[in-house]
Amino acid sequence: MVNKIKQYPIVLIFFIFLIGFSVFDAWYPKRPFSELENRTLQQYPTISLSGVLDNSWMVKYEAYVKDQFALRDNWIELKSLSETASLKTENNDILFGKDNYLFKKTLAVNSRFDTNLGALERFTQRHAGQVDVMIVPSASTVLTSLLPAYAPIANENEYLDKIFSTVGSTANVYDMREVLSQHSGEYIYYRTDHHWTALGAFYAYEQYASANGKPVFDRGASEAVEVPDFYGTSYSSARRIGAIADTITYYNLSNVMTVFNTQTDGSVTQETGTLYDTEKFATRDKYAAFLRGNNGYSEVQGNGEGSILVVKDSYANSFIPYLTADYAKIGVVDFRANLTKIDKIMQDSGYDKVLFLYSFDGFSSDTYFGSKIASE
Amino acid sequence: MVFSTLLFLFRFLPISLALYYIAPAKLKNTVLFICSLVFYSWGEVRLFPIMMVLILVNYFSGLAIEKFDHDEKKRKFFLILSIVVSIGMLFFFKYTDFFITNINAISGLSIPLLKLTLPLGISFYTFQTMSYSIDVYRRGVPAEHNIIDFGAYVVMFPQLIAGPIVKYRDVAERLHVLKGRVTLDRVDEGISLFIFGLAKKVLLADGISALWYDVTGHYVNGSFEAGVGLANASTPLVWLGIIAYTLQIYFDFSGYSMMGIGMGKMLGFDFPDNFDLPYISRSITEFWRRWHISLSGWFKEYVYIPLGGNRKGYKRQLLNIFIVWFLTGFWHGANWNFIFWGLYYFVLLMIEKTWLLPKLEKGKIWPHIYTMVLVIIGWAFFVGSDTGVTMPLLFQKLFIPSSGVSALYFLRNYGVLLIVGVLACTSLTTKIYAVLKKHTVLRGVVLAAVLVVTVAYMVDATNSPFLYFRF
Repeated sequence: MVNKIKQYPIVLIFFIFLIGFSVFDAWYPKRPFSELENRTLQQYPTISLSGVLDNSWMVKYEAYVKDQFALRDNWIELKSLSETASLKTENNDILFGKDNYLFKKTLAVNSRFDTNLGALERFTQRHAGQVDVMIVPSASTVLTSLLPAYAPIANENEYLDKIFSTVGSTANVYDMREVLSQHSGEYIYYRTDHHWTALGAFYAYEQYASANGKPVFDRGASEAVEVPDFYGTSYSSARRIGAIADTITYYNLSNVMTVFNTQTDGSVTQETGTLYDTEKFATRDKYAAFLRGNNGYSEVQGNGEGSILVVKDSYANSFIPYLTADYAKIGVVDFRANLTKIDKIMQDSGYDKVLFLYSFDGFSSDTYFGSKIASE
Repeated sequence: MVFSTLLFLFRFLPISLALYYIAPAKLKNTVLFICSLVFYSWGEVRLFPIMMVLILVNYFSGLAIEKFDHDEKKRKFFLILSIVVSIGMLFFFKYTDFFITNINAISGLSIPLLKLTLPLGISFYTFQTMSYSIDVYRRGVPAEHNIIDFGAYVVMFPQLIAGPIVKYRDVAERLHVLKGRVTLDRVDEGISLFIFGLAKKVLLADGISALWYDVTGHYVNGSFEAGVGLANASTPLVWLGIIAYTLQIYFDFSGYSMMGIGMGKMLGFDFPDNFDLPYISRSITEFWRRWHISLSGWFKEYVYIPLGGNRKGYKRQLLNIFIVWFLTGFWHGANWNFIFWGLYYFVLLMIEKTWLLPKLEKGKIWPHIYTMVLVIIGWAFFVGSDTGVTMPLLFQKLFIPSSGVSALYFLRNYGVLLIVGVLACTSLTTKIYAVLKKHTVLRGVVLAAVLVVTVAYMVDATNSPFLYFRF
């Protein structure tokens, strides 16, 4: 038998690999979290009769095998390499743009768009004149010259036009396309992440503050800190070979913010600190440092006058620090982690005005804020 | 369970093969039976009893048909019983909602739909059990006396879900070979077939399918990921998309069959071929001799010939062919578009049979173009009921030139993949395979490289169902 097997080396090697790698994989250390993918990984699901009978155990076990597969990150790297070798201009729905820019491949605007716009419209009608609306265009709408040739990106412009015309009579709208396009040669969006940079956010802020007759944040007055080696969300998806790391810039402010966390038992804990969770800068998910991540409700102490409530997605996290120059108190609501309706929040804390600040992508795909703002 | 998952490749397969190889000769079929039941039940445990009923009814019917060898009435009774159970199951799970929908539409009633989960592979294994009882009835093969052996045949995992449709008589002999069933030359060839089949599925079918899904959108883990949208796509892009679908369905299905045949060989069985380079055909007639061979063969043997074939006059033959193509279409899915698709081929085959075939045989290049264009249009019927597709819009976009999202980006992005895909449809693959067969070292290196890259794509895959799972 042994001699016979020698005549079939492929059989021998195949089974050594198949069984060997399976054993290696079963033994390989399991991770709770993938830093690269920025998500928790499936853990071993405890087997139970009910779980087997309703198939939930099988689904989890299959996800477990996939999530914990030995050398997972390296395999994904190899796939990316192979995609590049086959001259693809994208990987995992991330387009490879010019100047090492990575863009999200949005072929169609999310179907939540109309629902969300309807909710925003009702909100602005209820609080006519009190609401500012800023929807930030995606990098692919501003940096059009950096897109791959003929990239079939959905046309955001007509949707942005629709938003601004729908709520234009009841709210103050801030269309940032022009100002961002004027600065499109500058570093206003990250190359490897879907967010705008602190600089991009500043240009938008500058226009917003001037339009409101507020003093503009003085960038020269505070220390600008640079954090290198930022590989963002687009990179995590595309794992683009030869991607160039981004640099995060932030202003070291002495302002403090308080994060209110609602616990599962309903009690609320408070945590006060600076506007940046600097520990996050040491991790892969560096953008999460801004405003200490996406918290349900927090309050920022400003140096100006009056109060403002910002309803937002993560784009606002690098924008809000500038508002400290203009307001005494800045409330921040992220409905992805807050179940309270907006009118209640406004009533309880008595805010003078509301800034509704979302990225276009966040606005059109969010499944949380609609029900919180549509009615009282 | 799906072949192209890590769960299958690095858990199910090594464990099953190891148990099967270690098991004493007498227990091999038992191991195969149990492993296959796990494979079958993995996705839907609730459907386990259905498989048991199917096995038991067909097993006992086979025995009864054999026992009442001289009692034609009883023989017939048990044959009909087994066929009614097989077809009844297929009909109940797959077609009930189609008929309710149509009855509702005609009568204005609103009978609620059943919305049943389609048991994995039911279209395939019910055809296999029918072939068994018909063959026993015809005395073409002795009844299987060992229920484990019979069960192992029905649920055998390599061919359970998407074929090839293996007749009992194809494997009966190997099923009873106890000593030396597994041979190294079979395993060796099986490994090559399995790896190339897996690569066909993961690298080619899944890779190219992304183009079509870019156009129509598709479901990923339960949520709809929108594409450009048929309505927004330009005519060239829609053609490119349907060409991509043409490649996808071939690699998907033939890749699956190849994996099935390969794993059959690893277990010591010889399954029949299912695909023979269908896209190099020079007529639709030839295409159907090369595409899904085990299904065409099944319909010919168990429907066309019993109906009288060509022996009862031309008109009757025409009707028989019509019935076969109606059923072929309907077998592929419980929807009108599949029936259209079947009848479309009926019409084309009739045209070729009565007039065109001799001319096609004389032609050189144009018969290839003619065949492919018609096959591609056929797939447009076939996808007509898919998510994001409506048949009138699809045909309007294909045949009435319209502007919209350009095809250029997609040609650029998928270009290399499309070229590789087209080449992989030609006889170049057979030539390469012949060379690799002669040079073991080269073959080993190629197989290792292909397998490693394929695994990388499996690790990073978001969505990789087999198209033929729906059938």
